[in-house]
Amino acid sequence: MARHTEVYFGLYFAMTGMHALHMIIGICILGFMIFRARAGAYTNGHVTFVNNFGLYWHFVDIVWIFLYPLLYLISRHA
Amino acid sequence: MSAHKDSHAMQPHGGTGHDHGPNEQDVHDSLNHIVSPVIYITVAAILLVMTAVTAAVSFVDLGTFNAVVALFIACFKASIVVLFFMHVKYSSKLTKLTLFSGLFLFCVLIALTLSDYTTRAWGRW
Repeated sequence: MARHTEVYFGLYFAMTGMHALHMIIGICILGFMIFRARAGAYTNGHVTFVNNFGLYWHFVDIVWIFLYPLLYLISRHA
Repeated sequence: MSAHKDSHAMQPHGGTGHDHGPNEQDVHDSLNHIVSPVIYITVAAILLVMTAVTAAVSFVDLGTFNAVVALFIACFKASIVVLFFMHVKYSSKLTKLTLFSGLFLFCVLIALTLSDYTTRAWGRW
């Protein structure tokens, strides 16, 4: 395989793999929150955990906003 | 949401960790601020449209400016996510200052990296 291709796919799998790890962690926390909410948590005004999870989830969101064009779109004409 | 508001009204000094009366300006207002679904749906629609735009623009050969346009659109999308989804628009000045100090440090790191990248093959082009 060409050296450039190896470098690209090294970066590609490192970045998408790290992003997938973040998403799996987020889905686990979301599942935990659904479990807690069904037991009646978060109805007494203590919503800091939900708020902080929202911040984490949108951080993961922003990572993909930049990864998508960088990995799939930018080098289309190179 | 309404349960939270009710409990806050009934016990202004208890439970939520805010050490001031109910009529004072809440410095943690981003935690309590309820954004209307209309704004969330509008922002989500803008994000979807911008995703379509950035994909469409990539089919046009703009040379170096393909990267510039794609990253500009990505920065715009990230900005509205931070402002509306992460409630920074409704947060205190301290939160905004913290955000901008982080952005400034990020710009410093990018400038240092690019000063290496752009001068690595100096005189060999």
